[in-house]
Amino acid sequence: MIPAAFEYARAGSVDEAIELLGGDEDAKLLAGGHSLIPTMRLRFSRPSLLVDIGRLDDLRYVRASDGPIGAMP
Amino acid sequence: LHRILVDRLGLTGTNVGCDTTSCGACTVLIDGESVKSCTVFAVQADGREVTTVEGLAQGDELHPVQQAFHEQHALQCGYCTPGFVLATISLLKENPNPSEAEIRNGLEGNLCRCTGYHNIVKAVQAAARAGA
Repeated sequence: MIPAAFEYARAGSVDEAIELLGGDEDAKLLAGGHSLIPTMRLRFSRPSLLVDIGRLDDLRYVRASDGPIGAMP
Repeated sequence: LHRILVDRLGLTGTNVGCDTTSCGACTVLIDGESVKSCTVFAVQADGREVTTVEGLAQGDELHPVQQAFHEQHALQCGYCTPGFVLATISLLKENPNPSEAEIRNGLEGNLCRCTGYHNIVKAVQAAARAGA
């Protein structure tokens, strides 16, 4: 199973990732890829551009705090 | 990534099972961390070190994890074995002395349809004792 053709860009910063993502409405973020890549290979998903955020160390953290967690606090 | 490894580089030790990230047969290491190579684009490994099962033995001397799988009879058909060996190396790097529960949890992304996992767990314990 081979995905449809796509462009690939590795973001060097969060700002660059946002810019790349905003420049192409069919772009998708690639992080772990373990959901996205199988769906691409089955051709259920055909992004024109993958923006790889896998090397953005800025995003590589889990922080604990006393604050609330919730989408609608 | 696995297509580059197998078709272009001729490293046929990396087996593909499910081709959908479920079974772990295709596990390799990227910079020492296990990944399922059927679901990694080769470009994601650009500039990083990829280790396949071919890269483990030193000449005729098996890697300690390979030796442990051999001695503990941790395989039957062997199709899942390269993935298990590499996942074990990654697990023991993170946790050099895992409990049985930690081993089973750590290898839950790898499926074996022959052995029932018992000897695989024993092999990981033996490899840990050997300081792998």
